[in-house]
Amino acid sequence: MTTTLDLQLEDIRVVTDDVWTSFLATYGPLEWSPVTLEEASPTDELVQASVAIHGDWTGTVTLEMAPATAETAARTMLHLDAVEEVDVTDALGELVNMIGGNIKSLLPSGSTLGLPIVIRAPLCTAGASTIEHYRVELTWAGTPIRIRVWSTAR
Amino acid sequence: MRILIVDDSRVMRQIVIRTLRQAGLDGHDVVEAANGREGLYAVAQHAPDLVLSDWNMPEMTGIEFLTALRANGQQVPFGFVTSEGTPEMVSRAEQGGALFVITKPFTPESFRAQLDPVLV
Repeated sequence: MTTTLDLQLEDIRVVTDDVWTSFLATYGPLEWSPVTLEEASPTDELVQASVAIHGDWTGTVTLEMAPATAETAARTMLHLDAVEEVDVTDALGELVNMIGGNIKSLLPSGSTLGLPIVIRAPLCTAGASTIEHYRVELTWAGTPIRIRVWSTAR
Repeated sequence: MRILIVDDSRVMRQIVIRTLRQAGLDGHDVVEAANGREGLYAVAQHAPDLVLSDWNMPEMTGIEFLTALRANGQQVPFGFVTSEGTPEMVSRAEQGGALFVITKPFTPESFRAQLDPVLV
């Protein structure tokens, strides 16, 4: 049996805001964005971090931002002036891990969290086996950030 | 006092170390490991007074790490620092012998609340 996903956009916003407030407040708070990531920052490439949730509801939480934003996030988390690509991957993975872990806490018990995956890729769109359920467009440090929650068809 | 921090994220290990300092819990020796298997080795090698471990890690998870420690008769004080703080996982942690679960994201205040009684 597949459980229906029952979240509010505000739930995702609050979870994400808690993460940003704890570790990324140096560059100011997250704000709702009136425009999409593509509109705010047209780019051929995004850093996309994802983590899977398995259980009565099975799906994926993704965090997307431009490479320069991801580097700013990594520098802020590490309190360093310069970081390497491995640090950016690590930082984005940890951010989506925290967001996904806390979203998992809002789901029925018994779910498990996968390990984060971070890639640089063109815009991520739904595949044949995935359905985009929630999309939260935010801005931080004057740059766009997007959280999406996808379910896996089965 | 020696503290072992086990997390597959180097970024998070650095944040944990910084948060210990911000919580006024600095001055301790810190040892790091990247997963439960490395953690087992580090406990044997460094004999820490406290272990702070992530839950969800490759190679060996935090709960497997804790279970292996206790199966070996190792009673080092152990706490989880994890993004998964559901009641069922807190219950599993406590049943496994963990003293506390700190949920990510955390604050210096949450560190102090859980660690002050352990680090006296």
